[in-house]
Amino acid sequence: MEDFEIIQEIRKGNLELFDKLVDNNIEAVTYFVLRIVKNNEDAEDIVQDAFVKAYEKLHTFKGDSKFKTWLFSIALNLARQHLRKRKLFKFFAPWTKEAESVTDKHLPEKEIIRKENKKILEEAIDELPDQQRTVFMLRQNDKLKYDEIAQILNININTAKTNYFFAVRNLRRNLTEKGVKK
Amino acid sequence: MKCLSEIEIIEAIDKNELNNYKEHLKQCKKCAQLVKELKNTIKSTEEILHEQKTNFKLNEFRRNKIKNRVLGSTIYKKPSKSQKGYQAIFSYASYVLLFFFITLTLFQNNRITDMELEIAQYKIEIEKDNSSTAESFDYEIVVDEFVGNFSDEYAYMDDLDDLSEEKTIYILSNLDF
Repeated sequence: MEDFEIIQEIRKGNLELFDKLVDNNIEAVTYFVLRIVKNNEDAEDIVQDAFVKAYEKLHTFKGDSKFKTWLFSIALNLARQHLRKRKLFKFFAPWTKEAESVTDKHLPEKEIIRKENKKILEEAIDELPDQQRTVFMLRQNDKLKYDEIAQILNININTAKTNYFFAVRNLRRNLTEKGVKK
Repeated sequence: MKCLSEIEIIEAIDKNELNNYKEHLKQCKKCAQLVKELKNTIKSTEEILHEQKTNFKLNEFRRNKIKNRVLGSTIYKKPSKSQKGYQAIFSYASYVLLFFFITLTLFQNNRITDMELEIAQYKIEIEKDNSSTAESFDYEIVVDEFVGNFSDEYAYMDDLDDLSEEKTIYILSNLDF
């Protein structure tokens, strides 16, 4: 059952179907929020709030966009509010680096280079300006179209495109400077 | 021959329209190199992000935890109008009860029980029989006045205000608080 069909049923009074809507989107939205807040507990709280808010405001959802897009925009706003509260408005901090150095010496050289490159790439993504990083992630990670990204971020399509282009340009320059090994 | 801008190339890659610049790229090594680098950048980051996304798997426990919290919050449990009414009444009643108990506690120290009253009356009666100075008082009137100011169960010290100072001192001196 597609999201829009579920929403129609919920509007008819089948409230228990919201469960399915949660099921369909929980993974994507949690990953998206986790990339922003970088804390499991916080991400879970935000995702919960986002779903509750989505449920409460479901009557305002016009269906012009996908439910997922709409949900992402709610989650993004909540995540931003959360970060503002924490005064740590820094998107996409380095992904969990769990004790890599301990085992690195036992890895083949090729694997070590791959890990180093991965680290440099992650840092390069982190160093992008907030909006460029968000657009880049939504485009590359969630494979969203520019109009969907524009809706989530409440910007126009051209701004979304420009942000993506500049993100790629900055990444290339950053990676060239840092000398990613092939 | 004018080189392509970086943004033009990125847009062409994004739209999968590099073929439009095929001739130019054959002739311009600088632009061809830039295309290669940009493609590499996009590919590498795509791989990293894909790997991260693949590694991210919301396990059943966490998935259920969030789901239960979402579904267990307000969404299916919105109170009906009648429930809201009952809640309001209950809430109002709680405040009234709280106020009653606070008032009771505040005045508790000042109240005299029936038992204490009886003892007081008894003491006054004995005093009346034994005291030679008691003639200046009409004890029955004093006690009646005092008792008359009692409520059914409790007497409050404030009630003594209605008596004269002389009678009040007499009664208080005979009460064992």
